[in-house]
Amino acid sequence: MKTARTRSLSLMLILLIAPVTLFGQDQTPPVAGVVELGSRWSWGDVYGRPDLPFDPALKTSKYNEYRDLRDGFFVPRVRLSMDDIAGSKYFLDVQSNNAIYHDQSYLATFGAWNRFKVQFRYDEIPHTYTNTARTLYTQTARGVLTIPLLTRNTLQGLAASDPTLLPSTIQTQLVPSMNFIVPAIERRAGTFLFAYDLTPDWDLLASYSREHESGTRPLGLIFNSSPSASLTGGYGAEVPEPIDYFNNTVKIRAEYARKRWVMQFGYTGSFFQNATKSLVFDNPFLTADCVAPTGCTNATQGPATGQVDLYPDNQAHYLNFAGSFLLMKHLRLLVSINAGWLRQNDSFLNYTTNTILLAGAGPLPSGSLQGEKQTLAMNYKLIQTLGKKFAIKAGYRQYDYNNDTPVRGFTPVQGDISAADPTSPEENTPFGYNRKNIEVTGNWYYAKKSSVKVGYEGEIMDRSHRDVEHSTENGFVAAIDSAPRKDLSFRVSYRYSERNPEQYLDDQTLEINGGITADQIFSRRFDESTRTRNRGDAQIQYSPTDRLSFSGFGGTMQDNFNHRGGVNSATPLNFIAGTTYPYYLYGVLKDLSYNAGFDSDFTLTNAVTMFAEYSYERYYKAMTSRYRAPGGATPTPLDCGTPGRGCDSANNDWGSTSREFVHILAGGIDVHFNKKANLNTYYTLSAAKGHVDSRPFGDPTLLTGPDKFLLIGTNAAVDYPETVSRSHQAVAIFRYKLTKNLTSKVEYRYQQFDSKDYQTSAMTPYMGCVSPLPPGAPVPGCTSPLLGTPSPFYPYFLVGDTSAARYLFLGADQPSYRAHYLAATVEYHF
Amino acid sequence: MKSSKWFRRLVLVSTLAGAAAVTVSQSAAQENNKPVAAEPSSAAAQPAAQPEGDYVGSEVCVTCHADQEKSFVHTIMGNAMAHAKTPLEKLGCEACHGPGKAHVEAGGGKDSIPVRFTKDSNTPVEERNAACLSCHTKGNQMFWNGSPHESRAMACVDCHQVHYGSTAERYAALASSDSRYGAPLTEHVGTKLPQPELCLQCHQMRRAQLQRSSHMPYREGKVTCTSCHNPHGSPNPSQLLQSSINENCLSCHTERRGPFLWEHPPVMENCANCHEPHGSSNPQLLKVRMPRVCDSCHDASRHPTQPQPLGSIKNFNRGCTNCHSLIHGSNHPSGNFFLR
Repeated sequence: MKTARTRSLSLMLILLIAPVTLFGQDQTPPVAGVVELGSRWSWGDVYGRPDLPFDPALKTSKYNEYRDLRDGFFVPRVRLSMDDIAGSKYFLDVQSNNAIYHDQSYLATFGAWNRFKVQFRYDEIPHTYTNTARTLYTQTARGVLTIPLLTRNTLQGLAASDPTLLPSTIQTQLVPSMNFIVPAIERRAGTFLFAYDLTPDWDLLASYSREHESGTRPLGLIFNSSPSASLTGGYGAEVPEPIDYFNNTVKIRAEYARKRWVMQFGYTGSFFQNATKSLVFDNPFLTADCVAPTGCTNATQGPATGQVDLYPDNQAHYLNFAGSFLLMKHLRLLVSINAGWLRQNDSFLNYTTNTILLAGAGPLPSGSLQGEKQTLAMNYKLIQTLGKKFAIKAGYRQYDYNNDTPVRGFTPVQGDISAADPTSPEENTPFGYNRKNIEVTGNWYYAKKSSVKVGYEGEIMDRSHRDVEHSTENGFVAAIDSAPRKDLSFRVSYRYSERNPEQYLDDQTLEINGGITADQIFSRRFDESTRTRNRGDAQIQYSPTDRLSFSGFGGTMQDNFNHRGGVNSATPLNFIAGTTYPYYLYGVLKDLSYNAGFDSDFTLTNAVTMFAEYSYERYYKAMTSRYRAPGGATPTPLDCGTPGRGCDSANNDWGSTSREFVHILAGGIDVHFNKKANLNTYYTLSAAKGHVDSRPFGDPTLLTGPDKFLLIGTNAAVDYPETVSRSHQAVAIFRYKLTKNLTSKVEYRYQQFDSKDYQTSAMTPYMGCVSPLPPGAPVPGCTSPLLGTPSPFYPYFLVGDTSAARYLFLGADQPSYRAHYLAATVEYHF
Repeated sequence: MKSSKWFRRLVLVSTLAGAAAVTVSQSAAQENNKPVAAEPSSAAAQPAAQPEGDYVGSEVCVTCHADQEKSFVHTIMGNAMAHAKTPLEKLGCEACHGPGKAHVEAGGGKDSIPVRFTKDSNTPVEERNAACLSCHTKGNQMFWNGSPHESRAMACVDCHQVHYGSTAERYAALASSDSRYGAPLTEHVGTKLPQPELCLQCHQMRRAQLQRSSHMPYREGKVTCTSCHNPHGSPNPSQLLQSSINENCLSCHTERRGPFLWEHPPVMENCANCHEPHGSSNPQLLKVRMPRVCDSCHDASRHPTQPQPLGSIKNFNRGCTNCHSLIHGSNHPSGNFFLR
């Protein structure tokens, strides 16, 4: 295999370089290009998970997330260009990146200058998700994941007889025998393009591309309607989802241009095919379908297999018209109309795989969705210039997302454990919207590269099947660009907008379930609710000499949703009156971001150049919510202090903030020792820290009565641990010019990735075995050392959930790594 | 939003556009019969019309400007002009720099060159751009007029270089395999820097975002700025190539396009409600990590309203999508909670 690869590569290189020898003596070489080849090695360690009983491989770690950095011979790039083949009007350009590896790219273009072009592009993109995954599943047929029956029998027996033994059995007997897998996908895409300049006015273009995406990726699935894969009910599994997608895309475009106008007509067809239509997966804890009370209990009922409908085949067709028309000497009209048709009609699966429930599930209302959507994007823009100093632009844009999918009634079987309810069918809600934007701006160009811009921006949004059917947004924008000197320019811009929904029709607030509304009253979704937005940006660029350039920037965007009245509450919703921080809705209150930074280049001497960059970002998002619980058989009157009553009290409101701080730093120096040698070194750091903090807003001393404070124990609003993502890279590249055309290069890179993420840094294939921190009592069957070594980053807790005692995970994580990379190559330019 | 309504609208607009096209095409055909002189098509700013007699021909230019000829003749434009199809292209140097008679008669000198593109040029940006737009009117440049970059008086030559020597010299100067950022293969070598470095010179915030741990393969050179944006202007938001943010995302992630039986409205409306495409510190390019990204909207009864302890299944690993994994849409008859 390796020999064949080397042989084909050698042949390719000979073919590439041969023309050089033929034409290389000409004064103006008709053949030009570069070939770089050499050898590379990388080594290091994945050090973030000492708790694992194995060492995750560096080559499948995040280090190689989108790359294929295998050791040995490699060809980073090849390019060959022939401007006029044998003195003709024809040209050829062939390029490749990372040839022969799984992140390779090729581009070949042949054509006649000013006449036509034929192009072929091939590209591979790998994506590795994790290198710590283990699973019991194997794919025995397309879309069928199975677990050995013996294993399932063992787990089923324990789940039925003594579920408290499940954790220790899984930890000691199952996890060690699981298969290691590397969930990863790869995209392979080939595109053929033909462009033809029919006349100086007419251009035609046609292209066809086919992409195959294959591999596996983690997919979480449950055999129940809610995440109750607990010791007392429900099952779940995270599986390697088989990916086998094909994308076919056809594009045709014609353009016609004259002195005063240009028009373009086009068609794009996109066809998605999924070779794996559905995924059937064994229930690890059950070998036969069962619904309580026949043959099983509530705790042990469920289906023997689960089934998930993977993404269905779909197709989209777009017709496009675009034009630019000079209507009068200083008046231009830009038009773009793009109409789309989206279709999906894959056959429906059955309601359930549980054979006991299937018979009572009722017939499907149709065999397939017959899903239809039409999109229509229309843009019109008028640009009027008034002399050389002024320009006025008026634009109208409409995007209609029209969903014509038929509405039908379905009787879903929730979780494969309870029968469907044919008396209250669920209807699908074909969501659609129509967005209209209006923009009028005026520019005054008061000096060279200097202008003032002011304008109005408005949006009218109409939606179907959503809480807000109609909203308007009005805003203004102002910007100043100034270049007071040739070496200095700056820009300041500000934008303000205010969005107002006409009405917030949250119909779920009318549905009463267990004594409480299905949706929290005054719950407002941030993408459609009242909002004011302030955005300011500033930038400065200064180049006092040819040797120094400096630019700085800063900006903020501030979305405020916490407005009083309108569709929000007219009075504060806080339980405690007179609070200093009133809120008038549930959901996102504020979403703020800030950024600032600079970069600078400095040429110390003709042989030494340096650069430095720094940026800081800060994100802040605050939201509020209420812990509510539906009541039992007699849910009302609402009373948080009485078991079985519905609980819906502002005393159980809680808030959460998400904060993120990011520092990006880079600096480097490039030194030319003489005409032959060059050393380029730089260092980059990307460091991000995140915090998710939560706190109750109510009165924690109220421990009885209808407003009883419930945010304690497993319902407590707690702070989550800090997350850290830090990436260092130090690079040194030394080049030495051996001859006029031949350059040798040695490249060394050190990369270090530190990841501390409480959500994944402790992930194992089994997370149901978690005991509280000492001095809390351990969960039965879940005591050390079965838990293994705690995560080094979070030594004081172990992530996991006793309510996930019957959920098998993949244990997917992307641990920290240290990697050294050394490459030695020669570059031949011709 | 009725389909018949918008369809009627489409037919009407298409008919009008078609009629306009036919009318204008006929007049254009008549124009075609006339002898054509150099005709800058840009309306924004056309260089002053010059009589044909003011052109001296490239042969005269290169007698003094041999170096400039050398740095141009093997470029893409140089090659195209060597096989000129239009009268404008046949003008050679003067197609871009304007008629050279006055310059010749003045015995040289920068001030007598009608259009200059160098850093010390006094030629207004509009006139410099008009020279480029006299040929580059179609394709990606169709919406240059009125675009954000045009409005900010950016010159084509702020990003592009025309006299770059030969293709071979360009290879040596441009992207090498050890660049800080990779870039997809391209036949275009006329930019001053390769992408994304070229764009990041001004869009510095994006430079920072590209460094995040959760990112698309920008740094690895598999996608780049122009994979999604058209810097020359587009009628779409944020100069996107496609008509909407979602159409842009779904042009690669086609499996999420639907239509689905059960759809998640914010997903269908705007991917950027939850994701930050330029890079994020949270998994899956999420703006806020789970479960808070879901909590932001879901304040319904049952589990979304609970703060969730650290070790909750709704918190660790894939968060809410441990169970609601079909969150982008489900076609399963029992998938109304996006569980399957």
